[in-house]
Formats: sequence, C-alpha cells, structure tokens
Amino acid sequence: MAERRLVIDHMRLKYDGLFNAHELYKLIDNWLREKAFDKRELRNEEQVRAEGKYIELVLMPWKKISDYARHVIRLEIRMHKFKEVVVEKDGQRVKMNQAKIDMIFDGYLDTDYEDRWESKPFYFFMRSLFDKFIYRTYSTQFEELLVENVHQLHTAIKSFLNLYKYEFGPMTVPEMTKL
Amino acid sequence: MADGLKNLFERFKKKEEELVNEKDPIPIHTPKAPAHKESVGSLYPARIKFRGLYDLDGLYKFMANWLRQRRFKVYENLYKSKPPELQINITAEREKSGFVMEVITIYYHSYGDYDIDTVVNGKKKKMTNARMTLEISGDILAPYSDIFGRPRWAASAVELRLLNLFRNWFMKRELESVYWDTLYYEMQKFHGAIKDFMKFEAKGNMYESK
Repeated sequence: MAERRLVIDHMRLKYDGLFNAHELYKLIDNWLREKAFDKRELRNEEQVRAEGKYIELVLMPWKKISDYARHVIRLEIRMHKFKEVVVEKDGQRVKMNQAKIDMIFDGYLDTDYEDRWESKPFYFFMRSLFDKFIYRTYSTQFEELLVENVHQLHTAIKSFLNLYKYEFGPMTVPEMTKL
Repeated sequence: MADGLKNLFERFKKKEEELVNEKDPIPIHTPKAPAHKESVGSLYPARIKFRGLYDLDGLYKFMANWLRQRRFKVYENLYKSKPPELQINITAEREKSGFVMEVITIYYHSYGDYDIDTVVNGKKKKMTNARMTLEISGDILAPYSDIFGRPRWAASAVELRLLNLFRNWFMKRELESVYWDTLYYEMQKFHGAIKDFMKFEAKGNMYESK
C-alpha cells in the first residue's frame, strides 16, 4: 500500500449565515479544476429534518505530481439547519440559503501510489532510503506545495463566505419560504 | 564430457527427489503463472445518501435510461424487497472493443416507507419516504469473459504471462488514460445527473461546471 503522510490535520472553517450553496459548490469545483485536481466525491448526504436540512459532503480530490507522489485533499463540509430564504437586495428579492457550516480540511501526501516499490523487502528498504536522504528536498517541496494549495482553497472559500457578510451586513432573521 | 553431463542431470533429479521426501516439511505452493484477474482497476466509488421524500420509480427509470442512452446494457442483479428494507443492485456493461469492457455498478439500499400517496403539482403521485444509500462504482475489464462466462487468455501459464505483459506494458497507458479516465469522468457525470434529479443542494459536476 502506498505511504500516506498527513501534512495538514483538521484545518477548520466555520460560518453561520447567508450564502448560496450552489455557488459555493461551484467555487470549489472551479478551484479544483483550475489546479488540475481530479475530483472524488466520497459522500454526498442530505437529510430532511424539521429544523432544516442536514447536508454532509466529503470530497477527496487528488492530483498526481509525478509517477511517484500525489496530493490528496480531504474536504469535509457539514451544513446544519440548512434553509432556503428570500432576502431583499437592492430592492430585489433574491433566493438565498441560510445554514451553519462547518468545514474540515486535511492534506495528505501519497508516495509510491502505484505500489511499485513494495513488491520486495529490498525495494521497500531502498524506497525508505531514497525518501529520507536522497529525495528529501523533493518530498519537502511537495509538502510545501500541498500546504500552499490547501491554504489557497481555505482562503478562497473564506473570502467567498465573507463576501456575503459584507453584502448583507449583520445577520437578521430573514423571511422564510415554503420548503 | 558425457559423464559430466550425466552427473549434471542426476544432480537435478536428486533435487526433485528431495522435494518429494516424506520427512521434509510440506513445500509451499508457488504458482508458476500470475493469478488471473479481469479487472484492470476499479474506479473510486461515489456515494449519495438521502433521507426524506423522493420518487423512487422516477429515479430508477432515470438511471436505467441514462445508462441505456449511452449504450450500456443494464442488468438488475438483485432486487430484494423486505419491507421496510429494499436493496437493488444494478450492473451496466458496455463493450468498447473486443478486449475492453466498461462496467458501472450501482448499489441501492433504502429503509423506510414506500408507495406513499402524495400530491405533487396538483397531481397524485406515489413517493417514497426513506433513508437511502446509493453507491456508484465502475470497473474496466480487459479481457472480459466470453458469453458463457469463460475467461479468455487464461488457459495456460504462457497465455497468462503474455496477457500480463500485454496489459502491464503495451496497453498500460492506453488502459489508464483512454479507458479508465473516460469512464471515471462519465461516472462523475452520472453522479451529477442523479444529484440533479434528486434536486440536491450540492448538485453539479466538476467536469461540466460553467
């Protein structure tokens, strides 16, 4: 099995308020596409509850950096009390969503993902040797790149959500629509 | 010279005899040929979970039609109804060439109430109120079995070795980039289409987003 190194552990982002779920989803998709990540949606869960929908998304996009190493980001999004609301913006009624969002970011560096250096003990030993001493600089570079990528995604989502805060001001109880 | 050769042969013979000696520990079986497997590499599965009211008949028809429109042959491998539990397994197969076959598998499992009479847009409709799991995965089979289920290129050790050589060296890049990737993107599209049909909040597909 390939070796998986945990580089970023449970980076969190919390938000409570108005936003557009479809736009948020599209933003993540577009970002992944721009960065040449292949998307993998592990789970997409929706539960209709009395207080509002509960949505859980687990994304695990990956990107091959070389034949030996690949980046994997694990993004867990949980939305509680998800509701559809109508708000007034510049005299126009706009459909928006309101929820409590909790996001968790993890970053992994997978090495030898094709299991080429694990068929014999000697190969395994050689791999460890190369990883630790010879290709150490490369591994560090890969890790730094992953950290940068995850931080970028985190910042992109954060600014996207903050934009709503700026547009709509402090949170007020909006008008409910029939679900 | 002849004696030398004779001795050499005897040496080999002795080794064989030693192997079948009763007092020796039982030798471990080491296969002479690599194990036969049709699958080149399965796709990463995508999972959809839902709890609430939905149209099961519509969903089933939608999935089957979507696959049929893309020339998949759809087979329902399992239909297990033990109310309130329902389990359906669907396999869709598409032959890309005489050597490569693409397979998409759907695993549906739900637990709840079925055939509830509801009124949707002024019309009576039977809906399902349940919690369900839908798992979509896929596989590339190369070479796939013949119509009688007999594996091909697996009759002898030589054939198996040839097959492995062909798959791991000559066809490797083609299988990975032409077939595996394409099917994965198609599976993601299918996944996105199901989310659209179910009117999920997090709908959309990365490879189609504009």
